Amino acid sequence: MIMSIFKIQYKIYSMYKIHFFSDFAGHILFPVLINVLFWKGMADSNVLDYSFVDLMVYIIMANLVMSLSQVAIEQKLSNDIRSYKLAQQLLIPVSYHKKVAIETISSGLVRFLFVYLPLVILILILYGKMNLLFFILGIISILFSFILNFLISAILGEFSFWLTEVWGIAAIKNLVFVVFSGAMFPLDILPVNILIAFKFLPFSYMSYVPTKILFGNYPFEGIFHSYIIASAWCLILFCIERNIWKFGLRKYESCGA
Amino acid sequence: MEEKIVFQSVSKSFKIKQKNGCSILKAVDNLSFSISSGEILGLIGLNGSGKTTTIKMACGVMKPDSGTILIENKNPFKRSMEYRKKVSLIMGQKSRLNPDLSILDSIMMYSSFYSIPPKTARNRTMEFSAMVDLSENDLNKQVRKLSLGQRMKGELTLAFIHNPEIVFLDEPTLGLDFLTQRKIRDFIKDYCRETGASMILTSHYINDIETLSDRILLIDKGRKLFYGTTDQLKNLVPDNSTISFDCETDINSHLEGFNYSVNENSYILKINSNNVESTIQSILKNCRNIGNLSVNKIGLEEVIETVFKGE
Repeated sequence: MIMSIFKIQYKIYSMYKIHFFSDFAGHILFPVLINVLFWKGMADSNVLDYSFVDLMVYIIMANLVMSLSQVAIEQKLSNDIRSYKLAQQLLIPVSYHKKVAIETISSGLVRFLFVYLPLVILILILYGKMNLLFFILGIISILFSFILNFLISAILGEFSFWLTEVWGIAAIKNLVFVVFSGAMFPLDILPVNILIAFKFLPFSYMSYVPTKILFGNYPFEGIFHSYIIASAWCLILFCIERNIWKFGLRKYESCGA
Repeated sequence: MEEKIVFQSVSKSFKIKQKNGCSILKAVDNLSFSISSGEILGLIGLNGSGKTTTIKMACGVMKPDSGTILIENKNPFKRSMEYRKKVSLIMGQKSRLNPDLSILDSIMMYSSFYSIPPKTARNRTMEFSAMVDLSENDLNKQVRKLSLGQRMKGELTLAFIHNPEIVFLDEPTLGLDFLTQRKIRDFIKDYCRETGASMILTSHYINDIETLSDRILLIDKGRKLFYGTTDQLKNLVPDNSTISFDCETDINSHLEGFNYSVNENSYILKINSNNVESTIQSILKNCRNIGNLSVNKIGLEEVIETVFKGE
């Protein structure tokens, strides 16, 4: 079944060649171009700990990580809940969550293998930061990022049990993620107190932390610390998601969406 | 015969929020019926009559406020894996086919959910697609490039791929041309006859219901208006047949007591089907130079309209 879904996701992704280019242009090229212009000005005139090149490489990698782990299933869940489709899905012999999760992971894996992984490796090699241990630890961190993204996206989508539309909330989520995840700028340029506070929130584990780990710029004990906090957030979000699903489904079963 | 689906005094209400508080809408009111193995029940009602709510409750995705629903003597709301493998819910206009892929791709993915080996799935797909007149080329085309009729045929092939024993069909022919409707009706009928599957069918096309259903459940505002066979339903209307004929002689005096209309020499009599023979004999006796004699039973649509009006 898993292979079957993976194959399907590959087919969907490769159905339109434009996907490869839109992923590259929309998620990497344009954000990087905007950042190049902005940070060139900052680095030339400022006393940041980053050189302009460091900043650019960080931003490229952070955007790659963010795009790789980004999950946007709110609209799919919302459509399924608001329409009759959830009823159909509840009657097939595979749990709805399992199916959505496998679909999302498969589609993420297809993107990872065919677009992001070669780019990540290329950047690490060109930047002279390719280290197998940090690469593996970084991939583990990206996995946490993926799970966090999935759970938050699922929670927002499940609000559709009560709300008519969730795209507004999803838009706010995307904005918050871009700013607080470290995809737009390295979080360690912020004052130390804010950085510490950020480490207790889930957002930095979506881009900043994995990027720093991939570059080998994150202390070992910090890496394991990050795994613990990210795991705790995964657990908390998982419990929230399960409860929202439970109450939402109860409402769906009693009076529809 | 074994009863597969049982509804016993099922009721369901919804709270409707309004500007000045809440009101209660009774979607289904004390509904009881049963469906035997191999039987098709046609569910008829106007928009908002409670058909979809009934289907949702029957398949186990919406709980009733009161009453009992049993599918093969089990509670469908548990949605056990065993139950899910036996059941299929099909809705016209709500496709499970991925628009970016081919019908065959979607079928192969769904087959894996039912642990159907790929070869078996492919063979069944070919068998079903031949029944609904779907070519191999259509099976391999991207779904978004197919016509609505072809998509619906693909949807049916997908929905029946696991050989379901209990099928819920909500408007399966909605928006389709009459030839496609007929193909789909034939497919459903053949499938039911060959496998003994039980079905609940809703459709706004009375032709679907009349052709396919063994029994009919007529509901309005969630309440049962009629439950029985098509013939029993037609017998609810006393004058359920018409006799038309042209007659040169004035026979008005012989038609006293009949429900009839006359236009020049053309007569139309509305009578009960049981009296057709005796009435024709009487007409033949009294009418000289009779022409264009025809007998018609009134359509189910007219009967239903009469039942709704006389509710």
